[in-house]
Amino acid sequence: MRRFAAGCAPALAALALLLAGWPGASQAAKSDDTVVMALGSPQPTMDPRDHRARVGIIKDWHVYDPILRRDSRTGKVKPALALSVKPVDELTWEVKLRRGVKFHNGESFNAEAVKYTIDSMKDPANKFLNRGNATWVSEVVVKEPYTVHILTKKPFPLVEELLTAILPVPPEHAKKAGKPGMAARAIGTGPYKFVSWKKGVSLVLVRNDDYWGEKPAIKNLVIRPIKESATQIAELLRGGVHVIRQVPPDQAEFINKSGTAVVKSAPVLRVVYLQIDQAGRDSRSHKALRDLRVRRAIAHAVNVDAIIKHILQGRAMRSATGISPLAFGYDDSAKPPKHDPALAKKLLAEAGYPNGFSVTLHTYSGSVMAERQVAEAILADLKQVGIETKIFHFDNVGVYTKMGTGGKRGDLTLASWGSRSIFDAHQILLPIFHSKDPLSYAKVPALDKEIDAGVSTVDAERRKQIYARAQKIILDEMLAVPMYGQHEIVGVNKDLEFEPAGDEILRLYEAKWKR
Amino acid sequence: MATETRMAEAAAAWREAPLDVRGSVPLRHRLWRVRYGLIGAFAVLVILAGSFLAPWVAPHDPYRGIVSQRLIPPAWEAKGSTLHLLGTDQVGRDYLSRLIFGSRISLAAGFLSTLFAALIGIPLGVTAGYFGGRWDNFVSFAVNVMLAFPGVLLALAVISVLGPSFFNLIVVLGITSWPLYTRVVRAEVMSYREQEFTLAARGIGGTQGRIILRHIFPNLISTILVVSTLEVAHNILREAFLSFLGLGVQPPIPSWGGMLSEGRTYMLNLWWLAAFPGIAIFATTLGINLLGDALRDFLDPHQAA
Amino acid sequence: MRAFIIRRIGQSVLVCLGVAVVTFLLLRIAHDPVYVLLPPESTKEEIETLRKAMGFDQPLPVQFAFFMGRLLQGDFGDSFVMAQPASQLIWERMPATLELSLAGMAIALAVAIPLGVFAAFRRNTLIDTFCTSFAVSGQAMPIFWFGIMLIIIFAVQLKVLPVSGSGTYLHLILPAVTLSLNLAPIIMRLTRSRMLDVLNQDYIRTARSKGVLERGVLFRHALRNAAISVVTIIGLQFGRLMGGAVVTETVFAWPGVATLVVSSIYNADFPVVQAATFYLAIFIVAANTVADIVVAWLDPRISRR
Repeated sequence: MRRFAAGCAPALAALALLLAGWPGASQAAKSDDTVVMALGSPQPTMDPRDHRARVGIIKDWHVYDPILRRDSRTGKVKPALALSVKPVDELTWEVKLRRGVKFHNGESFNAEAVKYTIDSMKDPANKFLNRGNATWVSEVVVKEPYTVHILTKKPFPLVEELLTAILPVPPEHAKKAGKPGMAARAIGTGPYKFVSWKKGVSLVLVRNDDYWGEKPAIKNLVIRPIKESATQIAELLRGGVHVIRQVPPDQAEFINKSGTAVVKSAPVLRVVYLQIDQAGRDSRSHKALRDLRVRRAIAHAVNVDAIIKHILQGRAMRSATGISPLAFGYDDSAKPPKHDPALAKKLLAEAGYPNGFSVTLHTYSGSVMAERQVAEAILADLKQVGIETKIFHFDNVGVYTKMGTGGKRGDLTLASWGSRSIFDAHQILLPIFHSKDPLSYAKVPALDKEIDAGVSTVDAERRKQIYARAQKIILDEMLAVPMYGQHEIVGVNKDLEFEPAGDEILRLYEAKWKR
Repeated sequence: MATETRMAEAAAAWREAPLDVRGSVPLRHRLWRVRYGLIGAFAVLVILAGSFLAPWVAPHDPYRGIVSQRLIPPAWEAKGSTLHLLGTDQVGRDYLSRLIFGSRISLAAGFLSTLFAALIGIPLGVTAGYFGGRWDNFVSFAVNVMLAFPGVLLALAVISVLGPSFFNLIVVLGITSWPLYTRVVRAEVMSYREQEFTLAARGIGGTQGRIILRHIFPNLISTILVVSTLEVAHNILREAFLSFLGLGVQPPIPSWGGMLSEGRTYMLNLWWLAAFPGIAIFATTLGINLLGDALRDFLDPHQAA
Repeated sequence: MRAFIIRRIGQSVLVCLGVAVVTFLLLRIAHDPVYVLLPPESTKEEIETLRKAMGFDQPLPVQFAFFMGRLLQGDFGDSFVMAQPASQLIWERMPATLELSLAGMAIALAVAIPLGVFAAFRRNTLIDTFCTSFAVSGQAMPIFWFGIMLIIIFAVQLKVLPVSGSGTYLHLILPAVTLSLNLAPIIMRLTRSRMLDVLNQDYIRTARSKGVLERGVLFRHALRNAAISVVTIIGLQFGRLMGGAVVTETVFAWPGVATLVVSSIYNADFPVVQAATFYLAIFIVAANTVADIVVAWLDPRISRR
């Protein structure tokens, strides 16, 4: 025994010395002008044309520039690589480009670059995953070195919005490097330059000192993928990471009290609603949902305000119609259904279901914040008026989508829609409420008419009226129980001045160190 | 696992040990050796009783949650209340009640999946070991393929096909466990096959089936018992693992794995959400392991000192 | 011996192919991958065009023929989610997982074997009890709980180690320790019981009581005995290591293969899942084969069977 202890002593002593001299914490941020951001999944590729991932979009906006940019404070689209975008006729838009802009490799940015980017995205031979963001374009014509005409297939009011999703790539480099080259290295016109990318480990960017616009305050950016929320928060508290997103609302108070970081939130476009199978698209869904009184009962049963207050800690915007309050066309004069369980029971009885009935609630994790808890709160609310609910949860986005488009996601679905960052009511009305769309479980011909009308004209006033009528139909028929627009909740190191924006794109190029 | 080799050898030694050695270790002595196992057995019995008597023992309805009462800490903390001894969860449900009802799922998952694995694995192992030949080659090949398969992938693939549910959970856990039974049993049966008593039985003219059932099978029981107790513990841990990946039993059904998985984001501040299910899993698995070890020691004459 | 090795390797190859077939079937029946590639707003024509382009409209046997042809060239196709060949993705991340696994195994061996030996020599004393409880507790804990606890204690509270990521050897410590939890208890208990087997044999006891046997000889003999079981177990536990790796890599944001595989299954990214399963199975089978060969070398009786 003594020999064992004697043997251990030097080992323990060495260990103690080691621990004492260990650098341990030193995660200095301000001193080396580096901000580390943790995102939930690894970067798929450096080519903005070949992915649809949120984490990729965030990175793209730092190394590349979009043609038009959305202002993070006003939410309005403003000039970026394009100086102006004007309609020439119903199908043609003239885009005048900024001069004197260079890609990070020295290539000039001009009309050819725009044409090349859009053409390559559209080309089915390339099989780019982000094709969908360019299919609305029928042709790109180079008029002058810094002017392009973009032709659309039909009169299209969303051109400006969709131009925020086109990020030009350098044509000569792209042709030489090919798909693999573009996937491995990012060369854009943006405020940051690509330094290195160790897949799944970190992406390192450095400030572009020749940037044409306002230069970012932070010199070095590191983007790291960390999937586990607890780990992200631990890193934030430790100072190893300075910005994290999708912070669970329950952790906000804790982070705020930590002294190392604070929580900031901002309303975003993503809206959460309870979709009801009004059309009876799913043969297994309960026939009660066909009855308007039942749908109204469900809307009165769910206590949305309590969900916002307790589960989301107030970090959400009540939506009266199911459309994001931030989207163009949202009718802010509309009133949401009141929480009234007694009225709900009465309506159910009138419809012939005094003892309620059973339904399935489908949920999918990933986009609705705290969706388990929201789903269970809904479950409890419905149980109170006699509706027994079973939760059917999906973790696999493929299966979820397939069930949805295949007409197998009947009864109720707790869904969210990000509208692909396009702040326009059309982007949610069409896919969710138009009877022809694969994801829609509604069938109201009058509504279809309005939706079609709304996208066929470019007159903003007319569109507003059309959409007001559309939202009224949604509420009258209670096609979905409107809930709320989510907030983007981010955790930010206390030394950093940074605010989240409404389109779920974190703009670190606007961040600065506190004095 | 090497447990299996050890099992096989322990059982073999037991059979071969002369009768007087077996008898010479008094019961009292053997019970003292396995004192930890008795503690384990006691713990397991308490937990089992709790889960059977759940509706009477639990203070609240584990499904009923009041949103305004969510995330209340345990009673002894500052903001706690005696109404909820172990606090409430993210939807306002009483945690103690959920823990008690959750034992049903976790224990059932552990036992049923092990039973399923045994029902598949034991017959395969016995027949492969006894009859040998092509059937044995086939079964061994199947076992090797199953064991080469990273268990995770199998679980994920199956559940993402079938969807997460209690029944599918049992199926998946059973599928990952059966190769162990087959391997262990096959090895033992192969060694018995050549034993004197088998040859004697064959000489007398017993049929194959009878020989297997009446002579070989009883000898396997001790091994099967020990392996089973340890597999039950493993399957309870695997249920927690599958819940970590989101493939376990779905809410609002309470299960320890699910509660632990949901609570892990909050381990930094709302510690009780992860701590209590973790302790429950730990205590149960520990108890079962101690019980299993004790069973093995009890049956093993080598540790006579 | 040589015949044994050849036979063993032959078996392994067959097993790997078996795994490939199973993976192919399992995943093909599961999902319709076209929906993952296209946004939900796609029209029916776009869906059908992509389906044809990817070859999903062919009958299953035809698809399988193509699959096997490409598999033998190491080509699993391009990932559906990341714009890269699946094989390349796996191989980029495999070294990190191997590094973690080897570190975890090294820690497990470095801790468990000495403890096991020590416990065997000091049997039934307090030390033995302590070591055994340590091992049994380790087997009863879900490892993601353990991992997050380690982060809380060492990274957040004591601040001596980084929370997550990779880079310096400091980053390797916590994840490797977490992973070793899967292996260390079993190895410790195995070593202990093997040592005890040797120590308790009658002729050894007689020799010891006569003071005849040298420590060194005894030690080597016992260790050799233990080595056989430990090597076997390591081979068998390789698969289990993967399960542990999934959790460890997720919790510590370690850039390995395991997390890639999990997210690929969620995204129905077939090529990556198939490539990963196949290569992982090769590793597991290789590890087992090597283990078996080493054991046969240590104990020649086995290879003669």
